[in-house]
Amino acid sequence: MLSSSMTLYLIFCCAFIILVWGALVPFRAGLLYNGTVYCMAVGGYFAAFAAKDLGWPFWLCILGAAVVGAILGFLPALGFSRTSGIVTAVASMALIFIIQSVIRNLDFLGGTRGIRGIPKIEHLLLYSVILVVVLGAFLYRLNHSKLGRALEAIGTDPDMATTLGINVKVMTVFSLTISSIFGAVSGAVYAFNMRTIYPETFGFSLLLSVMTMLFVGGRYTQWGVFISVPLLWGLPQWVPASINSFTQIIYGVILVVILMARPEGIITRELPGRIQHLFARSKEKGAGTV
Amino acid sequence: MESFVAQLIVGLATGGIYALLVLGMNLLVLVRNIVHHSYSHIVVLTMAMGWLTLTHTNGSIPLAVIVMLISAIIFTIATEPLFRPLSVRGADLETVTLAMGIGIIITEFISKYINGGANFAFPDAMTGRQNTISIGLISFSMANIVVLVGCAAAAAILMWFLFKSKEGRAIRAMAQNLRVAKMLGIPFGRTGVLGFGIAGLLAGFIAILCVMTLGAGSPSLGDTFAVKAIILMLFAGMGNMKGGLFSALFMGVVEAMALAYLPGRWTEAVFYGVIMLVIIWKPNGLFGNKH
Repeated sequence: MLSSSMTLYLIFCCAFIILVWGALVPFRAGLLYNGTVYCMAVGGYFAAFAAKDLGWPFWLCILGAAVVGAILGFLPALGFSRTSGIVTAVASMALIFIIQSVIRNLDFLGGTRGIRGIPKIEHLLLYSVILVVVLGAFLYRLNHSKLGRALEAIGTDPDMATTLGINVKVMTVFSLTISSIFGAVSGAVYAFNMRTIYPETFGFSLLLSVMTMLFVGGRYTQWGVFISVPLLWGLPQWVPASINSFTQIIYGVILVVILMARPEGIITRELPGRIQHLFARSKEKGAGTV
Repeated sequence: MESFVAQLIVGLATGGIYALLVLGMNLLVLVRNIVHHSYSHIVVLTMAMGWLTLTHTNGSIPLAVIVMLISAIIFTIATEPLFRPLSVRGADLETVTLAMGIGIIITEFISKYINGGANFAFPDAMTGRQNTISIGLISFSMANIVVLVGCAAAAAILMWFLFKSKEGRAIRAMAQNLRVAKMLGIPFGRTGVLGFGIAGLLAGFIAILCVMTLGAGSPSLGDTFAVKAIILMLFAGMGNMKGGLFSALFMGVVEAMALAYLPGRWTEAVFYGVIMLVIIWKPNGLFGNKH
């Protein structure tokens, strides 16, 4: 049986894998969208409130968080369909400050003290792994469907995408909404794992760690997060205690070094195809010798 | 009325510092087409260097000023090689993330090694706080006036450099069309380093002005400044020097007034909400992004 700290760590990994996937969807369309963290706050607070004060069961909380996150992510997405590139990145950063300030001022969400004593869920690790598998399969289908290729086209060249008959604005709103749903679900898992939730959690430092995980793992495929999230989230546990207080500096150095030396991240765009190719070739060889 | 005038002067001084930050970042937008998110962190790191000099050399102020100016130039130029490969490739989003990474490193460095992460306060001799001027019932700090004059002078000199001198015109040419500029014989590397050097000198100057108005620095100051500066830059239009100046001054005054007269609960949400709506409404900024 896993120790409790290991279980805690693995559930955090699941929550952050979902969160980074949320940031990955708009990135395919060439948008650096920080609103995923904003929707994480929305989802986390919704789940905490529903589970503690209304007594909803786990799956209903997750579903409710996804729906609320989708609605609250859809409204700003309508505005962000007008902007692109760095403008979206900075304007969506403002969303994070807005949601923090709003939560601080709402008394039924606990204000600055946050919500404590969220009910404990049995088998949370199993549930979060199921969520990762389901959302991962959904993301895989999305990436390999017509919609995913349309997003890729927008990311490569918006003007060309328009000539191909892709409605850039509708696709942008779509990708940001999907990203919001992922963010909200990850927030709900996070809230059930922490069992307390504060507005300060969803701040600038969380945004930076999400960016680090996204850029280090590789932002063109969905597989990079499986390396970067456990690695970066587990860093404080694995390094010796003497350099434990330097983890933030190590994050920064890793981010800078990866961007300089391997701009596409650890898992590049070609790597999955190459690995597939390797396996296919060895199979052919095996067939030839028999 | 008296407190209103005093608040106005405080607001203008804060706005002046924001304006210089935005000017420095806009200069780097022109030089390398990058958004140097960690420029504000470099300013705070420079303040920390000044503080270190003061504590270790029994408080010689001229030496501290010289150390601040030189270290700011060195820090800023040191970031240029990091940005060069990305800016050649034209990867905007990666440069922003890279700058954020540098920002983390600087913030953590300050919170680990400078005064054990606590606020580092400067002596009164350097801040000039004790000198207050009173005109009738209005009284305000001498430092605010010095900051205002200093900001105006720095902005004027930078404008003159960019629009009148040969090197400044070369920087603006590179911003408009890099390929044509290279064809006309403008050296890519040297002009970039020159631009970063001037931005660094400006960063040192901003750090000195920050010491005079704030009187103390803290590790989180860099993040606060960085977010405000980048938002103001987009608010006015990227690379637009004059628009950035006006919007920064305006924002400083609005902030001082809001702090003085509005109840604090919802101010932040309203402030960022308005900024976000303006940015969405005019993605190129209020004044457009002309060079």
